[in-house]
Amino acid sequence: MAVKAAQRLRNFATDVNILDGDGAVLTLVADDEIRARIGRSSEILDDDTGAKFTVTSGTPTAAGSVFTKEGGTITTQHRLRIDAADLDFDAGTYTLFFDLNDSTDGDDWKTVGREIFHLEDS
Amino acid sequence: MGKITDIAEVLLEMGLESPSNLERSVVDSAIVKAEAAVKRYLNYDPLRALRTEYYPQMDQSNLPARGYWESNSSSAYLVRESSASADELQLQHLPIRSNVAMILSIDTNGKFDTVSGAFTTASVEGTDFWPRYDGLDDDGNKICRDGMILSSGRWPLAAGSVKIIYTAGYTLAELHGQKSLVDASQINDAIIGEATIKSKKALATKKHIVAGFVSGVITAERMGDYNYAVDPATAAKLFGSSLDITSASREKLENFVNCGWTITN
Repeated sequence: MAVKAAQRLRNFATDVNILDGDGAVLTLVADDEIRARIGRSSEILDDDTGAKFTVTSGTPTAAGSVFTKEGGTITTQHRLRIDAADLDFDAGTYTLFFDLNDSTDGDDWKTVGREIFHLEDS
Repeated sequence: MGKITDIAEVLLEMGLESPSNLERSVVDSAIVKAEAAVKRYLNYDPLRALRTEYYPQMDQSNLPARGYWESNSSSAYLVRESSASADELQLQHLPIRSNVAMILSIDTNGKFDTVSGAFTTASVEGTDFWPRYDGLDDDGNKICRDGMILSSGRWPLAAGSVKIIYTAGYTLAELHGQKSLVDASQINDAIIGEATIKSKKALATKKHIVAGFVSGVITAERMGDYNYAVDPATAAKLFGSSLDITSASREKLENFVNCGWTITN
């Protein structure tokens, strides 16, 4: 875990591991989904209402941001790429949430990771 | 979880890049306490919300009125110079925003809206009453920073005879200094500072959970004939103030305190 520093209106990419509650790296299977959200905790609450940015694996945003899920064959790290157009919100310090929809555990999203996301003015 | 300050802001302030779950919990709890302390000092919640309130909170009808008697050819009459604070209505939450139209009703027998059928007639903004707007926000809506409303005529003195539904407070963007015309970032800054102090205090005195780990304030520790030494300069910064918030935070918040509401209610 580290501070993710990005710039407004500039492309951003990072590789992340999804961890379980004990801190062990999870290997995702075919029907699992992962989601990344950026915002303040008080705005995001239980769903993505109020999030400054949301992207789910398999569903790129209109601007082309993607969260590419890896199956663990080559790597357990998943690539989050945020297009510059999706970083069109006010500079500041936010929380980057990583959520998992575990196919073996029913259809509900669980927050499995949080990182500091600092957006600078470009 | 804080409503104003995000945990990432305090973790960054503390330099906790990779916090443990314990550290996250301590910081999260400290933010809640810091926000409560700041709200208590301000006398209101600075986060923008729609609020319903009843005024006056205090029964002012029996307060002595300043004035003098005059007479004309047929009768005597009292010329009132002032009477308590009935010339202006001071609301609790600041600042008043105009993005949602204010609904204000006067019913001298309303009794805080406990009487059936009370407060059925709304007064008209601009004709019957008008907040002391002092500018526009970044969205072009009016903002009234002192929270005072003037009326055509005097406000009633009976407690609970004015019902008002209004929007007041700052948006999260304004509290984070992300708007140019309305900047309330000092409130958030004070919360971050207070939460950092409270977090450090908790983390500096917590039980050691990692072998060899020594908290910042402790400069020496020995197991045999157990003893430890505390750095007095660091300790003074951590534990120096027994007050709810530090003087530095009070200075930051000075311009946002609702002194008028404290006086009139």
